[in-house]
Amino acid sequence: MCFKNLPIEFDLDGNARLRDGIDDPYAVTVAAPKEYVRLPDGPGATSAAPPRLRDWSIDPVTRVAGALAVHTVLDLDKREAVEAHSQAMLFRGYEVILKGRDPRDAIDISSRACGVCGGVHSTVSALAIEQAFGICPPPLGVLVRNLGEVGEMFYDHPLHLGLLAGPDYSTSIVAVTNPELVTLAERTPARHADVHGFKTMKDLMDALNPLTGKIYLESLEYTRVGRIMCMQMYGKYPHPSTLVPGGVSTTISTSSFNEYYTQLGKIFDYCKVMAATWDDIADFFLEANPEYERVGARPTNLIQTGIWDDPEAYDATYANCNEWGDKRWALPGIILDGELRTTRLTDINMGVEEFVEHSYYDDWTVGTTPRFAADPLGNPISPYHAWNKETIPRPQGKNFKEKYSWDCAPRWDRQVMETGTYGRMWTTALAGRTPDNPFLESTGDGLRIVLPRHGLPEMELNWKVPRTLNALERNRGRAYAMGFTAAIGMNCILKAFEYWRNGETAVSVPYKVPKDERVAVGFWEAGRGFLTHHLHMDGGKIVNYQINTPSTWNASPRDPFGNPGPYEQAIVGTPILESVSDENVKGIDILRAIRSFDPCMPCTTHMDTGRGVIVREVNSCGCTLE
Amino acid sequence: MTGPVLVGGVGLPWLRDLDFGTQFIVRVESESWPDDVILEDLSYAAHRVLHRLQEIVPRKVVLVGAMPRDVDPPGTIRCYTLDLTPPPPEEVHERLTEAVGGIIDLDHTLAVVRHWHALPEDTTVIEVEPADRSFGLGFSEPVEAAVEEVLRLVRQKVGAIEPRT
Repeated sequence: MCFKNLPIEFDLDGNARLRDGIDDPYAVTVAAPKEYVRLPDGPGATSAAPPRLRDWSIDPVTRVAGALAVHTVLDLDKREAVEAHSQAMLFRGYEVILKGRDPRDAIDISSRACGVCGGVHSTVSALAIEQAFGICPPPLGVLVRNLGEVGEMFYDHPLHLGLLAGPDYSTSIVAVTNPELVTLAERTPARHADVHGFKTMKDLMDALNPLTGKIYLESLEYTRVGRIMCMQMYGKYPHPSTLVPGGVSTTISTSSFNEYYTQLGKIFDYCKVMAATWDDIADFFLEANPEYERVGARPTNLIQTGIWDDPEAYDATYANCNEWGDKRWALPGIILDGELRTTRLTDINMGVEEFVEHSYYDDWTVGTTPRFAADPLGNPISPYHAWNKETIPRPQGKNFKEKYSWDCAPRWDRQVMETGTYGRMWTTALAGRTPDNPFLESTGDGLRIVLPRHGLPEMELNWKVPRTLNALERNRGRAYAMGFTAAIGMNCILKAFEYWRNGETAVSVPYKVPKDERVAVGFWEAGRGFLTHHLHMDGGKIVNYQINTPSTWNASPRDPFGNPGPYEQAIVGTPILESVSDENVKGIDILRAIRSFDPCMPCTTHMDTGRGVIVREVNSCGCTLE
Repeated sequence: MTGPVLVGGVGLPWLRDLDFGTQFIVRVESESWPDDVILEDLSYAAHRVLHRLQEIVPRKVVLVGAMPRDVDPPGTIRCYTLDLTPPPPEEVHERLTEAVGGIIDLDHTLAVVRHWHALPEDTTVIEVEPADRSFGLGFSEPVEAAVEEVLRLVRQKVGAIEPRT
């Protein structure tokens, strides 16, 4: 039994059903948001001095686009954040745009939902559509998609670790917020100097400096390698045009795979260096001050949809999604309080609801009957499920007690869930199973990754499931995720060579657009984790299309039950560890907490200076947005 | 210098006049151009444009896009030879940080590629002042009226022969 809040139970054959005798199984009892109480409570409260609180806003988090704002309250006596609201600032509107269109348009249009990793949206859209059309790609088509997505992760992860999160731990930043750590770093040898080449921690932190640091610059360069890998498989990147229902339309040749393999080889050394780098950075900060374990910490509740299909298992059907989902290189799964509860995609799908109590939307369930009471297999789904959802924007002013974000609040079994690159490693590690292969092994409490020799010798990386989900472990996990991804890339390219040698070179299948009613879902993952596109089509047109991205989960506002979203949870309780006076606090630990999620909005360090918000039109990543 | 001539459009898809750069390239790429002229949609993040420029090493670049400067009437064309002096590193870092998050912006592109000296001395920027910045397809009247003049300027810059009328 994996549900404890939704009244879903399973019969002896494992079929889900709603428990009998419940009039309204998906009733929502709205609770007041759990706000921080600004005055002391209890005995002696009247004589106690009120806490020294400071409202602290990171608004806009991006300098001009204003896609994300985070409003916090710092308790300067306790030196920690005691309140947080995460506010997505822009309406995306893809769901509205896609209504009434040919479903194939969704591949290209939804690609633009993310300015960082458009390939994942094209891919998941193609998955949803091929499920609706009842077609399945040939095995090599599945592998080409896998390889393209491996490449895309090597575009995404270096950007985050090198250019977005990395500078938070660089000499140039730390010298301002914690100069004593720079002094300590100068006399602390780097444990993995033999891998990354930096003798002291100060040398390593110098390498993270913006624009000049070696790791910063190398990371920028490696995004080129990731992009080339994508182009070898997709013909074009960003925003590939070759992802189609039933495979890819790229003209693939022997040289496509050879060139891809060459680029993948270049990646191996970078993966080794980044794992060593983030091991050293995380360990240095945690040893210097164990309080860093609390920065960005929240309960280990993770939701993942899994990615990278087994070409012999994947059949594109919803009916068999638990079987092919279970064969993915990175497993889908639900982790609650650190325990893996399920890896079944149907369990994940039927437990997801989206709420708009604190979002700039109208509740579509009011006065309407849900389109669907169950998924195509008869598993019950909520009126708040994506297949029943309607996007009804209702712009209005910000009010933290009422509505304050363009992001909605997805929940699984009505619980606050986080997703991430590290999440798919977490599910795969805890499941304790990986296909027989020479590069990757799930050990039940971690992952063993073997990276072949390139410039550096062959190396074994061992990622252990952390005891705490916090900012440093998210970054460490993401660094190891590169090795994880490279190992999967090796397996997929070798398998692709096998099909190629055997003459099984087809990468797509013909199809016709069905005219009857179809319901489908694409399950995939973005660089940041969970990704679904839910499709309802009829008469050859889209009736409803719903996109649920990683940052929809992570940046979500409070839900109707009063629970904060993951960013909000991670900020509350984050200690202010800066060694400077109150008036010089930069909020770096809060920013580290937010950035560790790799928010889809570029999470820059611009604090509210009181000079106001510059607004302009942008075309960008709107992953958190509707 | 033996590299090609690059004509690049920078636009914001589906935002009417703001998509000028992209749509301009789409409209004119099938016309007759000298063999060494590459027409490309460069409507992607600045560092990706940097990588592209480093790959093709053009001897001449013409960048086209709509930029709301709000100082000229809609449809105004601003054509200038780019000063290749890069902005201060702090500004480059800020712009690059936004760009890697996916923001498409001509100014971000100009800042980042100049920092890494990826543009040739012969670089021209042709900006059009937009009128309609809303969601949708097609240009506003003043911007539509500017298309032919922009095309003439681009042809002039790349040394292309005017098509016969």
